Amino acid sequence: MRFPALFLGRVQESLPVVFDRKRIYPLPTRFGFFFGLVALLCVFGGLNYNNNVVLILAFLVAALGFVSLLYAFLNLRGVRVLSVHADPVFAGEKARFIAQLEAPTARDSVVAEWRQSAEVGGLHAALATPFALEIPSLHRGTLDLPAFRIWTDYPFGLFYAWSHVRVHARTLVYPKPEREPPQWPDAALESGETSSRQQGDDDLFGLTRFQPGDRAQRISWAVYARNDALMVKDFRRTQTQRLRFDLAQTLGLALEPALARLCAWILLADRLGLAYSLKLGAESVPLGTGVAQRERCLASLALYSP
Amino acid sequence: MKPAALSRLGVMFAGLASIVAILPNLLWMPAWVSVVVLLALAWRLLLEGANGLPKPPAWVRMLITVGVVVYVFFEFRTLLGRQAGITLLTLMLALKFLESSSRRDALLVVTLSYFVTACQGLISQSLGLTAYMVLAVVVITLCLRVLNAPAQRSDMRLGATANAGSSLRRILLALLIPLLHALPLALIFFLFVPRLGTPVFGVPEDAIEARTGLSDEMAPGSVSKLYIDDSPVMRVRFEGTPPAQSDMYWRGPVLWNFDGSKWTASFGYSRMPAKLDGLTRAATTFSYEVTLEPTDRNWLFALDVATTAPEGAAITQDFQLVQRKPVTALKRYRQSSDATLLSRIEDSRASVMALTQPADRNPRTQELAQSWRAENPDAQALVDRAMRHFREEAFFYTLEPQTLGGNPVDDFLFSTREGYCEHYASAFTSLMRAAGVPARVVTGYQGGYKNPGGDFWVVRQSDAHAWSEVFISGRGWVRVDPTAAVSPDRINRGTDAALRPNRYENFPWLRDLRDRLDRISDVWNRSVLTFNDARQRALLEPFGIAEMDWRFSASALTIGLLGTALLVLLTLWWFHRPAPIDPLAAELRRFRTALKQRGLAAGPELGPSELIELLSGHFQETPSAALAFLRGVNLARYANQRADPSQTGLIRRMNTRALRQIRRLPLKLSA
Repeated sequence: MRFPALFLGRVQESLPVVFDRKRIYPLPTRFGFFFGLVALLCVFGGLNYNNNVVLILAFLVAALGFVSLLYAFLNLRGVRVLSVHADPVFAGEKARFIAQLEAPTARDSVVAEWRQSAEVGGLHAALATPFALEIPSLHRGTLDLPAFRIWTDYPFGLFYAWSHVRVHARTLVYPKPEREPPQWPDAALESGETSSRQQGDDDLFGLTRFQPGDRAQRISWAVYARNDALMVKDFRRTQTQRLRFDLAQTLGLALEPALARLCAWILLADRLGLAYSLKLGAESVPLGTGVAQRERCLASLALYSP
Repeated sequence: MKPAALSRLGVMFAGLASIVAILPNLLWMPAWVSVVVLLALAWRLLLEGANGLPKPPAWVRMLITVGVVVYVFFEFRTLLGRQAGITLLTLMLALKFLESSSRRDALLVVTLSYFVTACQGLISQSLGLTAYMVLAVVVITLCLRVLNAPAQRSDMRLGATANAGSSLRRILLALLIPLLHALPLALIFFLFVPRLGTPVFGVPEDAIEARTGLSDEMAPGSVSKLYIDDSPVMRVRFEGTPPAQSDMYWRGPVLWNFDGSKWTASFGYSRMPAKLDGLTRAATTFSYEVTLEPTDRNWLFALDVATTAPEGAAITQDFQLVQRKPVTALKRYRQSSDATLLSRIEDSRASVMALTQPADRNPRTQELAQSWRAENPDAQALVDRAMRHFREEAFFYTLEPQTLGGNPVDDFLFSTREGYCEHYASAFTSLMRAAGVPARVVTGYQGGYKNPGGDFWVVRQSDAHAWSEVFISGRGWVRVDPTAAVSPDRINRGTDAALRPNRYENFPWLRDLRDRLDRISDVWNRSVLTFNDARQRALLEPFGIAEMDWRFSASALTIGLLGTALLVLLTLWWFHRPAPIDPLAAELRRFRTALKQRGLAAGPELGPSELIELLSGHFQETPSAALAFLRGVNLARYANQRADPSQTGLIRRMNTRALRQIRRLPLKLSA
């Protein structure tokens, strides 16, 4: 790895990334600068007055500073980034990229940092340890892990040894689900089967917003506890539990709000355990159910471009 | 990142660092400053308590700061002196601790603690305090380590294993091992960082450590605490035979002027350098080395009479050894003296000055001297007459004499008749002057104590002494010690023998302890405290390098830095070295390597039994030795309860045979 290329972050590295002496840069911390200044002041004072006791102390402290540099450097040397992985997030959330760090020997105070967000921890010998890097996601789509830093200022915080890591790691960013989506239209119901639209007590059909007059027994307290929204369980007599979502059902909405609504519907349908399919223009996800179906549909939403 | 808040543990350790740094200063700082400092520390520590005090508002802290600064200024009359400066620093540290609320504040407190600790070297350089200071650095570094532990990083998320290194054992190891690594490097810094021959900035005026020693005036009858002060003035090593204790007169200030009650130095005469050229060396020359404690005065002490002067010092016409600058730090110098020199230099000009004293004071003394002179005007006879007077009349030697009135010499000679060396020297000199014999008072130290376990003599403040010199034409200046006539023990055996003969009778171990501590101090003084640029340059003389220059310093420092790096690497390698493999596994590894060389896939995951299977189909003949070896390994591993060294040897021999076979046997073509 050539130094300037690494610095500019143009080159992506392949895993595992091993911190060897060529890529670790030890530098004094701000506190280290101040500490060094004080030590230097003591050394000059001691030399000026040939005060050997002051000099003994000053040299001891200065030597401690130098040893601290070596320790910081050696604390990082040999650390390896084994893998980086993140679960998909909804737009606006922070993606947690989990870097697995490992070192042949035990280490203290290793920090994984990106911008202002840092996580500190130790490493047991030859045992992969997760370090989370929280990267905010702004838009639907994919999110690449930016270059981040692994550093340590062990043992005294006078010097920190750091190294940039730029590895390929990507996660999906799902659309941010609409907060209070309307009931899905009848068109979403599998053709030939209609819902009676009459409220009954048979099957849980969905959740609707609480309106005065709704029976208190039907309030979904679980949702209230989660989202702070008062929703009422909507029980309907239906023959079908199969849904067919289509981008076309969100008439009148721009693309992003439309995707947000579909996202919310999919989440609701998933929560209710319904089977559903998704059609986005030319793409489509066949009927399915469960976590895999949800992830597949959300991924389609994340990556959709008309 | 926003500043990390300070945890309760962080406050406690920042407090520990400040307390350790401040503690020695409480001994000498003005009492009110000490009180403010302690209150500030206590307040901040109590803030952390269950029902803590509110933090004092900013204006209160400001008021305290300004108040104490003003107080310090009026106490010391300066803010820049050593004591004033350190007092202010200490105060700053305490107030910074009081207001610290973030981790960054705590780190500042720790740094200031280091600084305040180092500054104590300006107050005292004793071995005890230095040991305390090194210990303080260890404790402050521990505080720094705690503040730097992941648990104190409230500005970061704590990972799953953030507390991996927070056991006490790990913290201590992470503290002590770096300290141990730093020690040799610190020593190399100490020895090889080039020292300054002369200060770049001025030396501060106040040498705090200097004790009340001899002064350049003497007023018998005034209270003097000097004679009961046991602290050492100097330690002396003689080359060859030392003089008898009764001949050890350490010459200090010479007092010429007498106003009837007080003796003072002569400002002109005592400043002129002596003309010693052309004097031949006598056989009675003593050579020795003096380590003088700081006195804050210009005098150096030498045996009567110095023939050489150390660098920066000169011998005056009255044989004082005077240095241009006051002795503000421990001073080590080589010195030689010639006991006969005093009388060999005749200085007739001085005789006029050594006769004057006020005619209207001490009339009875003058009357007595005149009567003696009438009997026998010869100078030596007058000296003998006066000595006989002290010896035969009822004079007493005591450190607690009665106070004297307006004519102190009269009072002493005719009524109180008790006193110590100052009284006798003053009275004798006054008598001589009245009798027309030129005389002067010499002050200094007399005697010394040979440390039984060491090769040096200690001269203490309690050995302070005053004697007389009279000028006898034809013989020059002659030393006369009237105290010897009154208390011969004082001169022959020292102050303790004369005044406190039973001092250590019941506590002989106390004397042993004092001697032992004295020897340690002596080593400390000579090896560490007096190390300077001259000694540094001569450091490598034993190795044939006469003068060490900066190039050598630079190489030594580089070697020190590299050596420390190597030391750290080796230590970490030693701590993390892989566990030794057991001998059987090592033999198997050799065997597998040989198989691989023959092209067989003998991976590390294959045990002996699998290897037997692997071998079966590959060779044209049965590899009997190899199979025997593998069965042997299995047997040794699983059949025996205990490892047997002789068995290991057998396995190794079997392996050697097996390897020979493996390399030789032809492989099946199909394989």
